[in-house]
Amino acid sequence: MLEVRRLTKRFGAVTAVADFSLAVADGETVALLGPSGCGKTTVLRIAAGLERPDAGQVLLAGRDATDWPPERRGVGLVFQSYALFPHLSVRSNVAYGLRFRRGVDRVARVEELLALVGLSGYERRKPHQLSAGQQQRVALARALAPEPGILLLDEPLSALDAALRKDLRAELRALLRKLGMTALYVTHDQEEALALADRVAVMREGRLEQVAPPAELYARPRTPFVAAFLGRANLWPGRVVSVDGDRALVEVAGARFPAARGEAGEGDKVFLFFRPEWVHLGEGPFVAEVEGAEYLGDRWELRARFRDLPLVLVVSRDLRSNRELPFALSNAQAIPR
Amino acid sequence: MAADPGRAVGFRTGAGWALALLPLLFLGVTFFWPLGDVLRLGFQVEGRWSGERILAALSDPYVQRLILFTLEQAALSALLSLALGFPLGWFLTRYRFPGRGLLRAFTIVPFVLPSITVALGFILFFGRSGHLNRFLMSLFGLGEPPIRVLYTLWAVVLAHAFYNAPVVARFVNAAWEGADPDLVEAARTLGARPAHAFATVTLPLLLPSLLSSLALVFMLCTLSFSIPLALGGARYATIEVGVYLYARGVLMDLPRAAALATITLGLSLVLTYLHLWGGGAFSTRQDGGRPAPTVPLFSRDRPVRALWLLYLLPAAVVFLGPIGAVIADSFLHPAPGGVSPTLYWYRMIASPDWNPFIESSPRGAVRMSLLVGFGATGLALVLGISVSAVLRRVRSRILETLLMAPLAVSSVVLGLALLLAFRRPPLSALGGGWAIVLAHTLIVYPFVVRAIRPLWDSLDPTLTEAARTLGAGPFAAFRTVTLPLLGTGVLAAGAFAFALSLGEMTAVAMLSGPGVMTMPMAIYHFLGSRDFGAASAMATVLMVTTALAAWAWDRAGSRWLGGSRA
Repeated sequence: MLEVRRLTKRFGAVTAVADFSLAVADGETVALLGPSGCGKTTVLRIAAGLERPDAGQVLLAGRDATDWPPERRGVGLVFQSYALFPHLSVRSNVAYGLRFRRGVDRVARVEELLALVGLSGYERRKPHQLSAGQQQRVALARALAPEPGILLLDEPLSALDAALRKDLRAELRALLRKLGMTALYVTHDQEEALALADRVAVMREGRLEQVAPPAELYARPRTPFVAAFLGRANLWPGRVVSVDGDRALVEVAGARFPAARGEAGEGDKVFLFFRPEWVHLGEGPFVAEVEGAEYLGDRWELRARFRDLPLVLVVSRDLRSNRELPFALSNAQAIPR
Repeated sequence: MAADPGRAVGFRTGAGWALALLPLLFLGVTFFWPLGDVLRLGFQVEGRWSGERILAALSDPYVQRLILFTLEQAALSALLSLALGFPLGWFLTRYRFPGRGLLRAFTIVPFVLPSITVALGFILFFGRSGHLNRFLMSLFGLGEPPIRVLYTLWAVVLAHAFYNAPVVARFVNAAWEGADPDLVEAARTLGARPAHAFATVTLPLLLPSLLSSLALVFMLCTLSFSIPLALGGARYATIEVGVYLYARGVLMDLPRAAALATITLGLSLVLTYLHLWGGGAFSTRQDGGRPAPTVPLFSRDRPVRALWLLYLLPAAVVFLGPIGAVIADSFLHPAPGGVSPTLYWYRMIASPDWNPFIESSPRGAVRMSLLVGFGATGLALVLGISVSAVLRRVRSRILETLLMAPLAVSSVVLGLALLLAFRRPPLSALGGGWAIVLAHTLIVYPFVVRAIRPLWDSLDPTLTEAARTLGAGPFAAFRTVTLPLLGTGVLAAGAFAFALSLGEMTAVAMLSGPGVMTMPMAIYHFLGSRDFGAASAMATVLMVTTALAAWAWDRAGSRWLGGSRA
């Protein structure tokens, strides 16, 4: 188990991580998601012992590991650049972490891991003789070899092309499940985060925005940032005019929409948030003006306007010829702004 | 995340300072303290500090002549180096021809050749009865040798140009290839004729490099020792030679030697500072968008290029003549009516018999050279790697200045410092050979640092981090990852250090004694006893060894850089 408590890290005048807390339970994969420069890699490096936090704690299996050097922590780290040792063969790379452990059958363990990542027979190759995907697998095998208590992955798939990335993503997920591995996975790719993780933690400017299982994060974002960062989102500024239990009525541009109340109270300024696919077209009390559309292969993305507010819609056929479309919202949320 | 290449794994900057203790301690005992001895002897008269000794030295007409001659020959050498080196740099930049890469690589060779072998080459080639005079006499049927340059100012200046013109050529070549060819083309489209575009665009772009190479050459020639010693004689001595003559030679006045050393120390500090300052101020390096265009050297429609022969032929004579003369004479034996090929001289330099002229046996000198070379290389590698490790971790100007200080002190002063230091504890406990080993260590380790630091900085810092997360402690990570990756660079730096130590004569001149003799100094003594054959054989061995080491250095460096990017 890994837990970081109230981490803060500054580089000169820049605060990379601010009061950041997160716990990764045993056997769980948590994705740390955010735009580049949001501090997610710094959190990972602090967890690995490669950076020292200015404040806060790192707990490994319940023990305060903040001051432990990296070699004592028993964490496996897969680097974005893989960091394979160029002077060592695949076998020696994977066996490297076993040098510092006693009572391990190194030969067997290396074979086992190379079989696990599907690279049996590549033992004698040097890293530069491997494809990017194979290098990635060696990096993974090397990190797993010393049986780390937790696996940290820093954008491990970002250097691969799109098709390979998707394949390896599925493989990686299956592998982590099979090994029952505890993992913290840093990525800026939302699709990767949603596909791989049991829970996703969204970071912004060094702070934690929200942590939740993927489906919940997608359906019930708590902040406008999370709503906009994951998938397509419509966010309309408005105000709560009345509340009733967990429901609220939100006034936007003179129209009133029912919405899930969330944390908003009566009179609060909020965003009315809804996903494009939550909009019902062809019926309903409201009318959108169509402005244009983009063909995306399996669907069309429609740009429209509702009383000066931009509206993104997803439809299955070309509706550009319709100047006006009636619509209704079956599902919307109020997010405080 | 962008990684700072100097970033240390972990977070203990304190460890960097702790690491600095060892090299600082070593330099303290072998360098700073001995240097203090020199300054004390220079500035202390009967236990109190005063400038009397320095002032007395400065008002001595002989010392004044030394100083004036030093500056005069350095200035002339710098100008001649520029005059000879600029066309070579131009030639290397502008023209395509077979062997261009080889010629460019060859420009490093004069720089690494032991200076005593160059001096020997000059004597054999330009001497009164040297190869050039013999050739000219037989060609024109002259009764008198037409060239009388030896033991004059001009011999010293010409030998310095031999050394430094290739350096200037490398500077010019690098700067010219870095200049954006678009600029010249822009000037041409604006109406400038080629010569005008050269004068108004290219030359101003090259000027910073020209000035900084002039400054470097001036500094090197000011502090040069073996060339003026062997080619100028006592009459045309520089300050450096003066220190030697007072400390070890006929004049025998240690306090005066220390006073002179203090003066030359000040001079070298000023020059080093000027050079570093100039290097910073002039280094307006721009990146050309594309490589400078070249034209083929050989083409029928431009016979004007044949004019290059007017430069290249004399240059080839100056550069190849002395080297060729040494090699040729090492295999020739005077015989009735001419010369005959022989290996006699090589057998002679392997002889274990005591030779009174060199105060050692020739074989002993070879042995001592190798021992000193290996010892100094080993120490310099350890010291150089530790200093590199410290300077990577701790970004401190003061620490860097302290740790690289021996770079700013001339070898003669260093030799004098160790000469004094080996007369008192703790160093007096060591044998005389150790003084030379330590001197060479101090002379060569800055080059090791210069070779290893950029290589180390270019290593991906995540590699050590990966090792750490896999369970390696800081030293295990260094041993298993960093050191093997620096491997080729360390070997190359070692080869270079070995070559420098093998050819170094200045510190040896100050520190050698009966039985403690190295090859370059033996060559100098052979010269004194007119044993040109033995001198040539020893010089040939030295030249081949240093050239091989320099070549290995060049090769390893480039192959390494190519390989790590793959």
